[in-house]
Amino acid sequence: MARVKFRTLTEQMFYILLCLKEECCGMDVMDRVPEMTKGKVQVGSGTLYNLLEQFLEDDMIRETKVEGRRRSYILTEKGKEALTRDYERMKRQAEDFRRAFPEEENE
Amino acid sequence: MKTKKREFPLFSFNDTTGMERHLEKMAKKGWMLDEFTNFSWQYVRCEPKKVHFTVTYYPKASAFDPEPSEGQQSFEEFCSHGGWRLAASNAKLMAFVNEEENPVPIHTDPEIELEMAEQSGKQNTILWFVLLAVSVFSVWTNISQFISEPSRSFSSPMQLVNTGMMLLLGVYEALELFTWFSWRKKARTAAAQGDALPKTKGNDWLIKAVLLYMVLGLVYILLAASDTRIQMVLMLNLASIVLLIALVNGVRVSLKKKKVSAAENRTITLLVDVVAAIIVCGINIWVVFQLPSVPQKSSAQGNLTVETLTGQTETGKADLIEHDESFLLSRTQFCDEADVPDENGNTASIEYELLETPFAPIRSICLKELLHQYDDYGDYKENGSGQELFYVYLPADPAPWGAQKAWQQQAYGEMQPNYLVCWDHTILKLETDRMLDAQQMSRAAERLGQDAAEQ
Repeated sequence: MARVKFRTLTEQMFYILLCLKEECCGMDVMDRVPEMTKGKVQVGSGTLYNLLEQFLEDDMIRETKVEGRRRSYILTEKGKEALTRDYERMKRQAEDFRRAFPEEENE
Repeated sequence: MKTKKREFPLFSFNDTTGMERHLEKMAKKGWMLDEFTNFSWQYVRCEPKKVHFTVTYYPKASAFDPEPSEGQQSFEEFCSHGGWRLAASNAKLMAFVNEEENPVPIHTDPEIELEMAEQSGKQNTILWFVLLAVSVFSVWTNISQFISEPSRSFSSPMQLVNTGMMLLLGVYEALELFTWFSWRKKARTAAAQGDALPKTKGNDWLIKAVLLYMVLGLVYILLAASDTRIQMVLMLNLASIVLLIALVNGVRVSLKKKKVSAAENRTITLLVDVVAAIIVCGINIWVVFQLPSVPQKSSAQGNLTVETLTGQTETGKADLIEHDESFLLSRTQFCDEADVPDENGNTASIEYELLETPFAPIRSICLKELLHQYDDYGDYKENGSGQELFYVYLPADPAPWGAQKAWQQQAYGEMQPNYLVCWDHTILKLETDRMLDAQQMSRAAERLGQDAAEQ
């Protein structure tokens, strides 16, 4: 299920993976996402917990450190590919938009 | 001033919205959730305040876990970091509280939230399907009995209450499943569109109705039981159920405290459950056989005796064989034997059954049962137009009985001294060993409180 799900990333998935470009623990991700997006994207604690489990299961991130129950993660090549794929998709969409509404681009 | 409060929650298994609303209302009244036990929710006194609750399930948790798993504790820490304090948890069920005005919800991705709800709902759904199957089977068995033995069934308070109970439980279980599946369908659509999951709905009113019915039904059975032994057996069964639940729960909790693994705890608790159930059933059966024969609590008098029919001096009443009475129907069986043999050395005897009900449809159903009671006895005789029954009630003159209708039994082509008589509210099934004349019929009717002379 996770494999199909991660073919396209949701906004929350995208930013969680982006945060994990650098090694950090789960709870730090919860703080970093709103910082990174100026509060536009917020990830619920339950959602983050479950997504980290699923990313780990799908080898999109890997565990780097375990201190008690505090676990740190980092993005894997597979995770980076998923992010790049999504970025390319969004870029294509942005280009298509520009072609459709060139006047908006000039403004 | 009370600082603790306990309540028995009546929520549908997936009605997290209802639970959250209730917990928020309690906090507003100054009661903060403190503990979930197996049967109750416990609160402690707090400053009345507006808080937010999120009730969620942790699908991998089990009631047999010696303590919350690493994963569950991590989940709790994540929530705590997000401002959600764990107020109480029991097995999969977790309730978090947040005092911020606009907190970030625990679940911000509807698909993930739905996944968690579906994983937890799976086990519950299987359990509810099993319970529904048991209820449907039980209702079917009870209805079959109502069809095959209506007089026994309508006069038995136990069977009436039990049938209603099983029917109500079946409706409740089916409605719980319907509510869950219809919520899941809407939730899947919402999650696919990235919308928030719909609010859950509960069937609290039906849970309350089931409980009320159980209590009233039990009181009714205890009050209406015609035999003290029935009351004793019923109380014994109830005590056994309470004892079994307490024992199984006690074993599970004490093994948890001893930090026994979930798998071992589950196996031991199941074994204790089965062995204890067998022992308790054995004890119940033994006690039933040991109970002294207590006279039935019946005010029914066997006024009709052999002497009534023979015209001899009456020395007593007929013996009560069985009496059962519900608000729908009263059924009483008597038998009597002459004190002295007749001139041929034969001891005359009678056996009769009285059915009394003010409800015409029930009377008509019972009459039909009695008229066809012997249809399956003996062989069928083939005749030109089909099959002919060996035992059959033929219409007889009701006038001597002062009744509305009367029948006399014919067996193997010969008239028998067996009668069926129907008055306004009463049906009599009388089996004697000699034919009755009109005078004897009239006397019998009179003794049974039926005014033969005026009819």
